[in-house]
Amino acid sequence: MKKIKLEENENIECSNKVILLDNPTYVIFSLKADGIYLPSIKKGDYVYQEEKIAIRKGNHFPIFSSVSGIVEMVDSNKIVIRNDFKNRVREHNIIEYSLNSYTKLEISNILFQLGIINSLDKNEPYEMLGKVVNKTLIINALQQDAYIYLQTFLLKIERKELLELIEAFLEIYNFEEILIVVPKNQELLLEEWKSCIRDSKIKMVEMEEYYSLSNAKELIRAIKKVTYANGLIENGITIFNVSTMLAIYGALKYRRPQIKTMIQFTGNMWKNNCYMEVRIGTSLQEAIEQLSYKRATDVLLLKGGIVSGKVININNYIIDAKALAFTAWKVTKEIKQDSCIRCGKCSKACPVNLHPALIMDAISKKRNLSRFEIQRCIDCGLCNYVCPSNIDIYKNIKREKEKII
Amino acid sequence: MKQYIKTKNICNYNQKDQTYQMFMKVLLIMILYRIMKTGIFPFVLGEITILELLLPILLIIVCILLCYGGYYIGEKYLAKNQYKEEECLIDGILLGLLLPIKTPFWIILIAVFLTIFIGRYFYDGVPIGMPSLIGILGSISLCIWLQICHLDSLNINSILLEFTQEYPLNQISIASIYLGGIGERISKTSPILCILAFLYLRKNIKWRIPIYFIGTYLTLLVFSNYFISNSWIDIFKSIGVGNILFLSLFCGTDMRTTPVTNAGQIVFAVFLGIFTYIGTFFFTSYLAIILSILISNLFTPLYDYFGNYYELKYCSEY
Repeated sequence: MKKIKLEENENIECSNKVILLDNPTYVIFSLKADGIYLPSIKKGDYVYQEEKIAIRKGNHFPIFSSVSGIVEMVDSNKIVIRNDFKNRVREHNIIEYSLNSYTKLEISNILFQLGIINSLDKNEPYEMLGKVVNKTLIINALQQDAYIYLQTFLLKIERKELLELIEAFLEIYNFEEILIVVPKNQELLLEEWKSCIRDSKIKMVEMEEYYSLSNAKELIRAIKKVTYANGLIENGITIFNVSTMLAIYGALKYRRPQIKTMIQFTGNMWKNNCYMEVRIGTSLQEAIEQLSYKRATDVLLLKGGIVSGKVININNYIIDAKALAFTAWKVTKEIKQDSCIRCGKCSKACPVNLHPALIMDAISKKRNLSRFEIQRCIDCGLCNYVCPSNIDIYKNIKREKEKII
Repeated sequence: MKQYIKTKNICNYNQKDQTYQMFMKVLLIMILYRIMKTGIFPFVLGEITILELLLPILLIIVCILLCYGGYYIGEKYLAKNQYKEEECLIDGILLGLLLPIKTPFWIILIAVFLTIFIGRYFYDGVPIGMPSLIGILGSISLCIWLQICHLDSLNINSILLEFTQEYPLNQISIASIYLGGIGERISKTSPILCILAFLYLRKNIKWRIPIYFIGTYLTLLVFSNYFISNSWIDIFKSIGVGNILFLSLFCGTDMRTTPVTNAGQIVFAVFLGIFTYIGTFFFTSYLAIILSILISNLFTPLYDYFGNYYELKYCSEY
């Protein structure tokens, strides 16, 4: 396993430049990404932009084409569409719908039908907003990992759209409060937002950023100083990040599926760190051609940030709606995995008080893991990051956790 | 609420090598201090010969070389890939510091053998004990056994005395104890230096162990002082004399053989303090703490079991 060594407090700036990658030659859609999808098209068909091309087996959750063109390939794993660069859609007229006119049921149905999806195995916006009790809506604009500022950036540039949606939600769902969580030291952003907010139920919350605040329960604990034993939805709390809010806005305002996504390219190896708007299904290779590395060798590319990110293969990676950032880091050296020295750094870093060193010991000795309560793991990856022996702890714990769950 | 690592400051800089480097720096400073205090100054004043000046350095070099020799033999024939070169160096230095300066070569050889092959290579996930201490205790046991067998020709009496004879506290001033340099071991360094070393290393060691150990030991001493009516000065002398601070800092906090959980570390340290206090009634404080550390190491899985249970049940907010 390769690891990256960053100097403490390395200053990595990301410019506010947005690159548009609107014309990918091919778009590819995985049919096994988060369940099994059944294609509704065949090879040689012509598909329009925003046309439904596959549905998930079981609950009919849809995938839409992000370009118009000819279907080059369909098999059980993927659909490949060659872009004709005409962006043809079936309905040319763009109708703007009033967000306040929707009912709760209509919103749930539209979000489901237009495939607004946020996590791997749940259609979160659909599930959350479908619930009867809605007390608090939290819009999270904090960093999801080190050096990833995408949510804050979107909060800056899409204020009008977000405010329209927030005000509509307040009216439809009758939320007791809507909290917009922004990082500290963003005075300008805060001022801009505060000057636009008219309802006292909408509040701006400044938070000092810590790594695991991207986890919903951690965020609630930090904001409300409470810990819920059961799920957040049962307690009437809904959390969306800014990207999801914008996808919901697009779906409700124009009744159109999400075909584009904003991604941040950051790290210490890009020549220019920037944001990029790409069509869903674009190959990462094509997106990266728009940028360039400082040096071609010794670069490690991660999907996500330095702590929780995963090493990806640039040649066969396809950008989907869940991708938020790609980070490129200078690899100082390949670090060998050593045996555990029981230093306890993993226990110290774990936000949920697990003891990864003891868990790893029990895994290697094939002992019963029930007393370690590994189902509490919030997948933050901090144990991996702080381990001085470079042991891939998180991978092992995740595997055992999946067995239990 | 637990303190999280701040996003902007996050960095994986705290590598194992750096921890070892910090340990090395501290140990080197301690050796230099000892050599300056009981070597160079007396040599300049003509109190000791050049051989006596170089003997401590020679002992450490021999211990390090023998440890490396053992390490290479072990890697070649046992090859468990669990033992690192850095640990081998630390073992060598600790042995050099803990053994009396005039230890015969064959005792050093036995101590190294026990350290490397019993302490390190026999270790297989079960914390059987701090390796250097296994080496020291093994060689002391051997010396005692040889003395019982009346093998006086081996000339081990002076070595045994160094291990088993406590310095009469009333004959030494508190200043000389806290400035260090009493006795035949390099590890009998200044307790003040040990406190400074603790402050320097606190983020890289299991800091709870020395703190709670000294706390427990001191409490028991104060409590017994109430009944036995020793003077307060003697209590501070007892803490400073006999390597207690040095051993609790460098051997008591050994990562592989001590608990991982915070609660486990506290219980470990408290029991270590109790065992040491009881041990001082039967042995010298040096032997008492060595035995206590080794006994406590044996219960490490139990402390961790308790620590894990306690922290998940009572300290977690989920």
